[in-house]
Amino acid sequence: MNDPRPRRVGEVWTRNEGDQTAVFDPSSGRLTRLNPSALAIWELCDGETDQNEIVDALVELTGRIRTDVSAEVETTLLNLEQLGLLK
Amino acid sequence: METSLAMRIVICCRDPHFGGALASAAESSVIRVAGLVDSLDRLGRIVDTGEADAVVSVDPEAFPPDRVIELVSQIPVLVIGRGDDVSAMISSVEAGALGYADFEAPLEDLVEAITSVLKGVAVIPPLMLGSLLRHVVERQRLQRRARERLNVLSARERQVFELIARGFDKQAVADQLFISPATARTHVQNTFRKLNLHSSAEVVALAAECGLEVGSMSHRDAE
Repeated sequence: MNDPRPRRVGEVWTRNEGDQTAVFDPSSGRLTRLNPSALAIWELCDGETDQNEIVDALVELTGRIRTDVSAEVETTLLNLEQLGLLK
Repeated sequence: METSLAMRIVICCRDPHFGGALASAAESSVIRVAGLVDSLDRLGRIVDTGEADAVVSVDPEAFPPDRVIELVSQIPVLVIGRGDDVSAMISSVEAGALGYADFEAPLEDLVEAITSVLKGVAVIPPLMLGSLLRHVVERQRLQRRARERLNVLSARERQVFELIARGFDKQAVADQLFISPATARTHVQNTFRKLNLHSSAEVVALAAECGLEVGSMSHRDAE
């Protein structure tokens, strides 16, 4: 993930489906289902919050070690980018 | 001698129907309901006997999470409240609750949440996770900015700042740091001047913003 302050794409429709959330991007016609963790991280991609802040918050909430959380956030952001959900 | 390996929970709930249903659903070979209480007083009495491994607090209005957590000390607490009440969820977690669950979730999901909390695993409704994460990011951001203000202080002044925040007066600062009262007064004055603070109350407020330990307001004359 190159951008330290990732930004999600703007014009998408979201709908809750149980524990998952469907995200539809009308510009690409792509429908993606995100689990709660990925959704929470994606929602933080506002162009102002940097990757380290996301990691710090997750470390505090989960009590897990930083290197593990950091790797997971990195992977999630890469996946979101590949799914076209980040600018 | 019969021994039980079941973990014991206390359910705090004013509604006997819901509380009873939850107790029935939770009772199993691994969970025993040690009490179903409708007041903080009754909760306190059970906790005092050491009969609780976790507390399940239904209805945050009747059982304010901060009061419950203060009362039960180290025992993990699961708060069951409205699934759309983000502020109740955040205040529960900030108060120290290990979990928050949606009142309208199926009973089996609530039992699963109780089981997780008994194992020491944090529980948050999946769709509330984003709001909680956003809250923590913003709080940490404010803390970082507040802490950056302290960068103007020398190491000694930083110690003085922390002691004042904990309720030490000038004499106590001097005693704690093994310095003369006059030197302590100088450090206190420099600390206030550098931070543009004018009272111990402002020191306490800034320390709280920094996430540092703060003490009582009594016996303080540092300013």
